[in-house]
Amino acid sequence: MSEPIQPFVGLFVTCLADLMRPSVAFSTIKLLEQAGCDVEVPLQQTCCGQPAYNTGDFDTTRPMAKQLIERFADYPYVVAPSGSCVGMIKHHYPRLFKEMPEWHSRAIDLAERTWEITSFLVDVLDYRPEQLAQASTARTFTYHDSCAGLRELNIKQQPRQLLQQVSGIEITEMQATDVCCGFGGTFCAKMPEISEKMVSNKLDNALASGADVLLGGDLGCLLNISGYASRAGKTIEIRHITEVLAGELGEPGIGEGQS
Amino acid sequence: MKFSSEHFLDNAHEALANETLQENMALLGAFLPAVRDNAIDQLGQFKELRSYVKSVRDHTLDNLDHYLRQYEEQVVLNGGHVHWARDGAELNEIVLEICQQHQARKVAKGKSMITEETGLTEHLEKAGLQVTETDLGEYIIQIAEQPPGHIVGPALHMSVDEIRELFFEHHDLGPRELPDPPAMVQEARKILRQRFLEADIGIIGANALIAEDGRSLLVTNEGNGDLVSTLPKVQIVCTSIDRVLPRPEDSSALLRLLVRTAVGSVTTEYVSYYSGPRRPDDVDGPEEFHVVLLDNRRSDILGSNYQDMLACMRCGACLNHCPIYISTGGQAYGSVYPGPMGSILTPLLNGLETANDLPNACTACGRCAEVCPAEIPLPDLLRDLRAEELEQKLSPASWRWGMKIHGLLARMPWLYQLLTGIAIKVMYWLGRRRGYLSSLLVPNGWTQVRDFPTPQNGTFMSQWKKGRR
Amino acid sequence: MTEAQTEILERVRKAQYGSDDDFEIQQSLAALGSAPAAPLDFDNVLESFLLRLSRNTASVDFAANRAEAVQRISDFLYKKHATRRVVAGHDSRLAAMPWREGGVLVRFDVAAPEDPASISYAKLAVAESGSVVLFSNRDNPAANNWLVTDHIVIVDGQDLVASYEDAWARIRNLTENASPRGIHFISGPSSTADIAGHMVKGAHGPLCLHIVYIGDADADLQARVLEKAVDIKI
Repeated sequence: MSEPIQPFVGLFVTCLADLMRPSVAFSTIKLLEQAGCDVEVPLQQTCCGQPAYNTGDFDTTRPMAKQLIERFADYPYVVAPSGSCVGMIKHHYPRLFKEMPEWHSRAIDLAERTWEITSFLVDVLDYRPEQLAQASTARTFTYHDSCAGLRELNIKQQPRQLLQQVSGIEITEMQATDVCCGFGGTFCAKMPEISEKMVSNKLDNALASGADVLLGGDLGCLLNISGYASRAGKTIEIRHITEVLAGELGEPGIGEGQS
Repeated sequence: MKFSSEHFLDNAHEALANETLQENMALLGAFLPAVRDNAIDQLGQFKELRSYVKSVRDHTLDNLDHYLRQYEEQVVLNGGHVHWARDGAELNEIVLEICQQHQARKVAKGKSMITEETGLTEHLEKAGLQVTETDLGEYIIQIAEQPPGHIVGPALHMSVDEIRELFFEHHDLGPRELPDPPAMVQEARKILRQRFLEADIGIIGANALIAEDGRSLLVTNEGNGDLVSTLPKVQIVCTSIDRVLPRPEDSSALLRLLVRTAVGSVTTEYVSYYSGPRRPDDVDGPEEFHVVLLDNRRSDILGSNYQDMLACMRCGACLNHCPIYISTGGQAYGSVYPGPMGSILTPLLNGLETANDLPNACTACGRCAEVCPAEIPLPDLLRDLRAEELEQKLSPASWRWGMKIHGLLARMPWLYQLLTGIAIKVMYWLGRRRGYLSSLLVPNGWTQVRDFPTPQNGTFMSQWKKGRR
Repeated sequence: MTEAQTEILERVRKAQYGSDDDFEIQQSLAALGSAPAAPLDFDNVLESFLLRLSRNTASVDFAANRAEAVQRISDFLYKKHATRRVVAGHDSRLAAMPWREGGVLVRFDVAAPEDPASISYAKLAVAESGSVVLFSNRDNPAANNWLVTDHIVIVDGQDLVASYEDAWARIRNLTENASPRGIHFISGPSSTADIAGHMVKGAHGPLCLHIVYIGDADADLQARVLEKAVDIKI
């Protein structure tokens, strides 16, 4: 891919980053600017519509999708720190508007311009700084592959490649990185017991890997794993990958209190 | 555990507490995907092959009545009989009638999902016939009086110890040891051999029906299906109208995918194409050959959004790769078709209102669609069923209204950001010291099993608008 | 036509999108081309066939001609069952073999439950899966494939093909004038993994599939196959 000069990026914050963990959005902006982008955050943005979509409520989803399509109509690149939101835009927006030709082409147009952050840095910008950041102390990290990012967007190697460029980091792979953590949007609340079994397996695998820190690219997964870990009385530091890539490790990890 | 889709959540609850089941399912969920990956790596052209097989299937379904008529003509030319059943009850009646016409007392069965779907065995037993399941997995659940837990290996949810106990209980062979699976298989061979030899009627299923020459395909490892197709005087093939393929080569292309995906092998031991009764100068084989073609809603599914489900080749890969199926086991689904494919097929065959939890037992992780050799977009079809549930108001009102309210708010960013700005600040203040909240006031599925991590100090939007960069 | 059949076909016709024209249907099927092939383990078809046989746990004997084949079979029968009596179908190729010279007593008949072993003569063999192709007919009664403990199958080198598609092309020729009741691709002894996933060889069918290959198969080739069989994971 050719490297565009000063790419103009519209940031899609995503609801979970907006509501639960703004540091993820701030880290994303920092990374994009470090990589030479000009970043703008359209203020009139909220949700991509995934929750309604996955419950089968396409009529409620479409207006939300139209809003997003319009808000981001003029950005050559739209970047979000979430595989599931980007998957929603790239794969499901066109499906939503199958019967509406005008919106269908606008959805396809947006889909072509939208990227998940690690994929944008690696696949579009080919961003290879000598050193991305410094981990505050030498620690072991493990990475959970979120389902949508992995299967809808082929994100697997990109986060790992970027992590290699953070000094002081050691990466260890856990078992079954590609098995669902049990979040699934509304699933975790609709079928809590089954979700619990799945997140318990995921946490066991993370702990068994020996890593100090669990990373991922989707806050839904990370909040799910963190919430369960805390209820089960087990500790592991949990962060979004952008925080580590941007060297923003000052804030407490997900679910951690202030020390 | 109640074998009914309506009891899915209760069944799941029981299943999650069953340690033996959890152990067995964990093994299944590790082993079968691994052997499948191995075999598909060896194949090399997985995506190309499945795309090809899909194109043949689509062509066949587009011209289904042509191929069904061609198949029937050929079976009749070969000396066989073809019967048509609109639903499961009709199929059961047709088979019983054939048995009664021959004053049959004993029936030997090969594995057939269609006969499980219609409950044929129960129907025949009620009429006084002795029915023996000869496929080892089916035999095991028959004597255990359990429903199947998997569409390929119906007893795979059971451990060696459990099966050994069953054999001791049901086989009157005196004191002996059954130290390992080979010993147990040899015992089953001895017991079942008599049943093959004594059966008046042999019933099998079909993995495919070949229109060109009227053959039905039977794919097995044990040899039981072929014994059932050879020794009894009457052979009955129970199958459904969506199994038909144009040419024998098409079934071979299908097999290239099916066996690798289902059990991680290049082929099964026996791939047999049966086309009718014994020929005039044959020295063995059945004297009569019957095929019963079941519709049971396939013609409804044809031409609908869900048509792709008719391409399912019953390999079980989606089950093996589904973390929900692995957590609950198959019996919790209350259907002979569990897992992702069953969560689509069961509502379609039995009505969404009797199985509306099943399409929700899904995180849309996509692992099933990735491995499906029939290229069925399983997560999309499941979502479409959830959309139908919504239209039929089968989902709880709180969820339906919750989504609408969220949707409305999300389209008014100024209000959304105002309200969330406040709510998040409150949650931050309540939970910042511990880092999490263990309750969200209203009982809900999240806090039932998890804590809720505390948000940071203010939403991104409120911070951004205040100038924080 | 029964009422059920009429109703079903009507529903199918209403639902589907296809054509009424048989020729058009044939053309659109032909336009799809043929299936991507499965890989062979070696460039050489025979080596691939033999490797698949060994992975399938079929045993193999090599013979340069029919007389040697009889010898191999005689040794096999005696070693396994301390007998040289065996049942076989009415295939003229079987009848033509020099059994008496090898001391083998063949009963040309349907296998009975007491028969420990039977002999079949393969119509074809397929390398991609390590299968022998047999028909069910007077030449080879079906019971001979499944009732016995040891199933011996003779394969002529000239009947070996690479793929399933090649096999079907030959089967079409062989069945042009007479369609046998059954066509079987047999690839190994009977097996099952239904008990907690444990692979057990020897279920309801034969415990052993023994191939006697008549053709050129030198010691080097056999060694090559054995070496590669160790590395292969499937």
